[in-house]
Amino acid sequence: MAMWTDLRPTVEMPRLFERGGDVISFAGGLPDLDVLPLETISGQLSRLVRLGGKLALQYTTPHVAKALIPAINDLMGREGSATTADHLVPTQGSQMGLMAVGLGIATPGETVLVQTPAYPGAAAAFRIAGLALHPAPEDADGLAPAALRETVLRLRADGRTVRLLYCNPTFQNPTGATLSVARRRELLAVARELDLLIIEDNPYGLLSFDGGTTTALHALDPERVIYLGTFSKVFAPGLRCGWIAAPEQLAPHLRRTTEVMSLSPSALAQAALAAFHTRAGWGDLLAAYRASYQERCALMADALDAELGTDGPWQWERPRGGFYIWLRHREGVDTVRFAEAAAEHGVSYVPGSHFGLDGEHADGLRLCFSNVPRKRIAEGVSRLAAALTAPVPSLRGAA
Amino acid sequence: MHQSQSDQPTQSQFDQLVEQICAVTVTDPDTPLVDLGVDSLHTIALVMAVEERYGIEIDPEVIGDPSLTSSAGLWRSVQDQLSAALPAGAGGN
Repeated sequence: MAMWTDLRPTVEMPRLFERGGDVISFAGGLPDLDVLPLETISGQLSRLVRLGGKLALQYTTPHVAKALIPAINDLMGREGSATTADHLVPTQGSQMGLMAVGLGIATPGETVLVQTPAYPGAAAAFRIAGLALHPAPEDADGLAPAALRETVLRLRADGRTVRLLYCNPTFQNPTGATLSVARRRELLAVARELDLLIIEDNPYGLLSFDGGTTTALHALDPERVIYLGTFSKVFAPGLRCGWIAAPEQLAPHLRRTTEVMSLSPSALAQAALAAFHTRAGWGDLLAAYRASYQERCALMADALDAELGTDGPWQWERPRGGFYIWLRHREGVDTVRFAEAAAEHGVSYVPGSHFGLDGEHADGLRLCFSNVPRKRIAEGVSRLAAALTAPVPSLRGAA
Repeated sequence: MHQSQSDQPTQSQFDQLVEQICAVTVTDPDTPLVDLGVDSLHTIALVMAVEERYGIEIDPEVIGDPSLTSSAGLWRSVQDQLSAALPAGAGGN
């Protein structure tokens, strides 16, 4: 018997991070930790535990430590935002932030609008929180404000509660697309008109290749935006540390929810990040990450140009930041069909249907360049091209 | 690497370091940091930065004692450590 927590499609997140054999993985979105200054971090962790271990290893209250707030504002300020302790809620990364919003702000049964193709972990979190998902309307420039208004009014006329819109507006997972500032302003105008809250998931915003940034939705209207921030992509995911910057009246609900979920944030992680920022700031590490991803993305895009050409069935755009390249089949073929051939050739990717709410976006596939060894990228793309340019296989089990 | 006597920072320069790291205003160096609104995790971050800057190790017991964790109290700890390290052949305690 199916449980209500069964997810369709299944999230299968752990499989994204499996690596082994000779497979070149373009699947899981892992950061390149080669850039971390491990000796510095090791020295600081040692110092932290010697001086403050009894505090940093103890339970703590569900608040962002004051010492960490300058580090958060240094990151948010780069996209025009700022926040204070009253608005902040600690998380163990944005996945927990998504669950906290789904459980602490939304009511089971209500509808959340989701920018698609979407990060599957967001859809899974909202489903487990008992929410109904509905795609947010898009046009060629991304989220479409006028159509959004129509969609919300129609859903409400049908008796559905619609208060939340989820999006990943900068270097979106999986497309790499960034919503223009003009669109952001229009989106917020519709949100104010219809009393919507926007959940802004922003793990990649500071990872542009040229160092440029885009003004965050949160910067434009902090009272309309629940901002999910994380140290996973600008420092490292293993510390499990992130934050929510929410409108002040919502922050207590979110804090209570995170307290139920995990009892306590990690004071050790918060203190370690605060100490790192106090000593070094974020500039050098961000520059190192950007350079690494710029190089890997160029290697992958150049190889795709060489292997797949521009007049074949596959189309894509070179991203300007983030972790991903999104390929689409011009004739709408379901990319799951190529997965078996890809595995036989020794390469993996994530099929587009994984990023749909109900199987849509099946004509896409996501390639992640962020963690592939540089010298393996061309070989991986060559293997991928061999799988993608073979005759389209039928779906397994199809007549 | 130790600074010569003429390069030794003053209490007021140390106050500035505290202000910069803890985002507070030090009106009286003898006021315990906790009374300025600096919580214990922030005090740890401050002492870590101080240790790194001066190349010293401060006794962890200092952090738990509000009377020692004023700007003046920490500055005394720094000076004690620096002077203990100055004589040739002498190590820290």
